[in-house]
Amino acid sequence: MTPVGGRRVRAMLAATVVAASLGGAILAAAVPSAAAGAASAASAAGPAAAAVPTGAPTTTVTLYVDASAGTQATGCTAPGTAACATIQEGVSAAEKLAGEAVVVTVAAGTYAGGVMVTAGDLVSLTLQGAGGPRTIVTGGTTVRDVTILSGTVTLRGLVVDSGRAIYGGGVSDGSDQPVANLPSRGLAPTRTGMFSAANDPAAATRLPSPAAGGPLTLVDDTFSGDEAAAGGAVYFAAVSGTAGLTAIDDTFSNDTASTAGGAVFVAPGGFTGPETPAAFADDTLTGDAAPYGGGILSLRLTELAFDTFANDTATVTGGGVLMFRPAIVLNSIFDASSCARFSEAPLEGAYNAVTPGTTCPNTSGTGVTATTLGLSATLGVNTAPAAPETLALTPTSPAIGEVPAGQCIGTVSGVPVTTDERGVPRQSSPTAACDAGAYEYVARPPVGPPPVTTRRVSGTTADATAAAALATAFPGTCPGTTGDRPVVLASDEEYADALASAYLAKDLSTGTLLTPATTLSAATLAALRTEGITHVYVVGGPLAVSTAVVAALEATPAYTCEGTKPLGRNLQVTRIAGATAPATAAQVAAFPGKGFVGSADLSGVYGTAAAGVGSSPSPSAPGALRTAIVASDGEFQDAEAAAVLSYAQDLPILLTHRGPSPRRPRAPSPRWASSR
Amino acid sequence: MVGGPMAVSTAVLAALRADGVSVLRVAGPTAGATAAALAGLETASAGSHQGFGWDHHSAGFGVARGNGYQDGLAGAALLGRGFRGSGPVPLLLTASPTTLGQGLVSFLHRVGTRGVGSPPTPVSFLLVLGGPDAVSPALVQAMAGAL
Repeated sequence: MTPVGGRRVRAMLAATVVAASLGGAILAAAVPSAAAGAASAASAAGPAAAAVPTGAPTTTVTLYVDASAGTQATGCTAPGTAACATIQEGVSAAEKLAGEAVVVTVAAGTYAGGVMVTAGDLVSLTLQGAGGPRTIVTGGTTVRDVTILSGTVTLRGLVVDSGRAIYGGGVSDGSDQPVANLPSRGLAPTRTGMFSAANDPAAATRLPSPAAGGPLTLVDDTFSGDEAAAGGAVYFAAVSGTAGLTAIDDTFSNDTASTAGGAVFVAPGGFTGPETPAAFADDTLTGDAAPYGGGILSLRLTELAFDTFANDTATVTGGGVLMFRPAIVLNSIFDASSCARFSEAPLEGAYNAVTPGTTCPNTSGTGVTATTLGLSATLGVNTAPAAPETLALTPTSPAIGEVPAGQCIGTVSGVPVTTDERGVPRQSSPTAACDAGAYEYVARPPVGPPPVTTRRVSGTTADATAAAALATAFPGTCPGTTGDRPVVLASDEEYADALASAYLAKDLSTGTLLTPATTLSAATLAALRTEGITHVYVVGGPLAVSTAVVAALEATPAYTCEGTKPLGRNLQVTRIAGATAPATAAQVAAFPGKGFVGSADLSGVYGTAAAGVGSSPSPSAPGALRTAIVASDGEFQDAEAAAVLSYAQDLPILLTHRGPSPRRPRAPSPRWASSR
Repeated sequence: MVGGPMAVSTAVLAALRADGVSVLRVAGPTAGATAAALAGLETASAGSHQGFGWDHHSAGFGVARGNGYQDGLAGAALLGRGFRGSGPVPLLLTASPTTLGQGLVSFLHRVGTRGVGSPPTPVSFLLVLGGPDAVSPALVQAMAGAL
């Protein structure tokens, strides 16, 4: 066998190996093009078609098992009460359907282990759980969960929990001795057998014999807390030429073996034909432990792709994996405890993420360092047990983007596998890189400022909008500060009065309503009541707000705040007006008295052309100066925004004609026109 | 003094100065630009005498149509008092119900990229005065996006 150089590895990866690595069943078909390379043993495999029985296509028969609803012990032909109550009953019913492909759907629930499967007469048998943590098979720490004596079997969507046996606490493809015969600790597996007679004189009698199981496929399963001497969760020993082990999207956690293969033990194959492989893709192995091969110990060709090994431990060697036969390791993660140890060349590896400097401590064989496996950097795998997603990649993990675009998608039996263990797409685009390990990191959107919230304050007319603005400005209360609840009223047909009114509105702790010149608008009338207005300050002369409007106001009853009850008196009206718009503005400015004029110190912007501020090169006295706003009286209405400044800072607005030699805007001495 | 020489002439400005009044003209070429300039003055730091130092911690703006004054003026009390505990809120003006106008666009760009005040605070709310016929929904969306 010729070791394969790095360049050759890359070429193979691009061509076939990724596809091959994703499924044992397809490996034999996919590898021949690479037969001259490392996978020469695989090249001797029979045609892939041998894995699938030939002949007329079969229909799939579905049977039903439901622990809570099922009442039947045989048949199991329909869901609900027609379903069987135990998995064994479902399997026994399936075994009667020779020549069929049977799917036994197992509803969510907890089921007893000890299931014996003899499916050799079927095309295939699938035990289909509900996925996630819902369909649980438990051996109760006394028996194996599922024993497969024959047949092509798939376990999908199951939790295989707390099984216990000598070989394969969760699942094994052969029967073996009672668990009481568990070998003692410290036996070392060997390359050719598993436990040599020298190591374990009783090994021969303990081996599953004969291991007649067919291909075993594990998809979306969880193996947890299973225990054995070899293969805590799974012991796979099929010896026929077509049988391989395929594990996709599975989680193996906290499984233990007293000798080897904490989670999975793959016994030698090829005794009666080609050596069929074991393939692991998108699997997570964590917290599994054994003296040899805490995660996986394999004695046959093995391929790993997109697997994550974290916190798997071995007291002797191979915390993550211990391989005695050629192996292909792609796009996988091995953390510091889960070292990968390979005893026989060649090893092909690429795009793996390995804790730097991690080698498996032992004396013989080929220890594999981070460098030979691929990426060398501190791993960012979240191993905190309480984390929402244990084994999720952290945002800075070097495993992110480690796998180039061409190596992200493989196929299993011709069907593309495009997602990680959870079902998250491997690639955001066909040209995007993807992540090593079973978890594809999805970047959250960058944390920016919260989105700008918008709120619209409006009515169907300008007057109604003014009413809405007044209500919004005084939420849950009414304008004014004392029993007197004032409001300012200005024309909705003229700019100047409403502009100037802001200063008055501030002084009165209220806002401005609008009205047409000749009739009081309905919206404003309604607002006067709901705001509980008692006193209306009309800004502008009779041409702006007619005497008829004032008369209507004076005939309008005043209400309590919220407008629920009449006060028994009408609105009081005060008109503030001059002969012209500037004169009216001046009256408004004078109304509160000069003590109300706000001050501003804008010396910092005087004489500068600050961005957005019109230049006015002029020396200015520093310090807070009593300030007014000067604006055009209406030929240009661009001072609209100044109303807000006027209100907020108590700055009166004085109006002027454009000039060039205008009357200087002048604030008169405090006096104002009396009502009407 | 709010408004350019076409609104309030330089003669008026000069007359005020002659009377010993300190004058700062705040203006832009359009009503929208004038409003933006005023907003800049209002949100600038008071401590350095550059502006009025309006609250930056819940920074927001009001907006109304600039070719029609009623909505903006009627909102003076609302914006001047502040919204939900904010400080006073500057009023911005659009060119029309469906057009932002150059002065407003460049102001929004500046605020959107730099934030408001010192230290800069991102803008958190927009208070629209007037119905969809006064400030179109598309315009509101564009403004919120720009901020």
